[in-house]
Amino acid sequence: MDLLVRIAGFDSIDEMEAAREDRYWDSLTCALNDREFAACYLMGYAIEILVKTAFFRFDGIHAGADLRPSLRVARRHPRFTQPTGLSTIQAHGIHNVRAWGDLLIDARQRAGPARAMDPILAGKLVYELRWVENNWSETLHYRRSIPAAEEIARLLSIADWLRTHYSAFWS
Amino acid sequence: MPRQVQPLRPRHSRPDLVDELAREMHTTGTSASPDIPTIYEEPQPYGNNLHVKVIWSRWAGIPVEQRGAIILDAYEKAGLKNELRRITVALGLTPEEDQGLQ
Repeated sequence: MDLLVRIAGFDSIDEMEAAREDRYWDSLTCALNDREFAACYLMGYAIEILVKTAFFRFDGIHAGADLRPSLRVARRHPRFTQPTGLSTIQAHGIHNVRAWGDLLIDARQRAGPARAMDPILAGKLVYELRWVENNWSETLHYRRSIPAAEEIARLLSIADWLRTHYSAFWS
Repeated sequence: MPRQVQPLRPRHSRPDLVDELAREMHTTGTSASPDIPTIYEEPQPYGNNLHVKVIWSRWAGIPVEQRGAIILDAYEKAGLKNELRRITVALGLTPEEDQGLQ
């Protein structure tokens, strides 16, 4: 059976969290084998998936449910269509990690003081995702770019921090 | 080695920065010097919440989580309890970081 047929189905939190771990360890394997660009490219996806699933977990979606309807709703959110945030920023693409982070912080503060994210954790999240936004994009695959060693180290460090605090982002 | 989770509200040892920032919270306008903190309070469109960003050269060398703790402590020290309760993002950036992270 062909691969695309074998993996056919819908995106769910369970599936995306498993994919996030695959991308994370794939990325580390590349980094340890001097494939810097691949390491960065894959780790960016691991981070993107992590922030997305944190949002959907907070939203109360069942971990096995089809996420496509929720993704369609999220795509129309002002965070992806209008300039928003702590500084002037143009409309985001659906892969934009900073916009997903803003969306998560928004959702938690909208749910009331008891469910708002800790402001220090939220500040750190904004800080790290801004850096990722400036150094990673899904369109990197069209570029022959060579990330610097410090950029790889920073991206891996951010991914580790996000994985360590994952449950705090949505619970 | 067992997995370790860092505390979300780290302690800091910079009461001097808390005092200085608290003093500046009662002034208005923009500062010309990076040694003087510039405090941006961004009201959120719902929930009466505030996102706070403090641009200050003296953040250099201080971890981001500790900067957030210093900002919250400064609001408390300045007697801005109502504002403190509304803060949902506390972010401290050096001027260079703020430029780089636009």
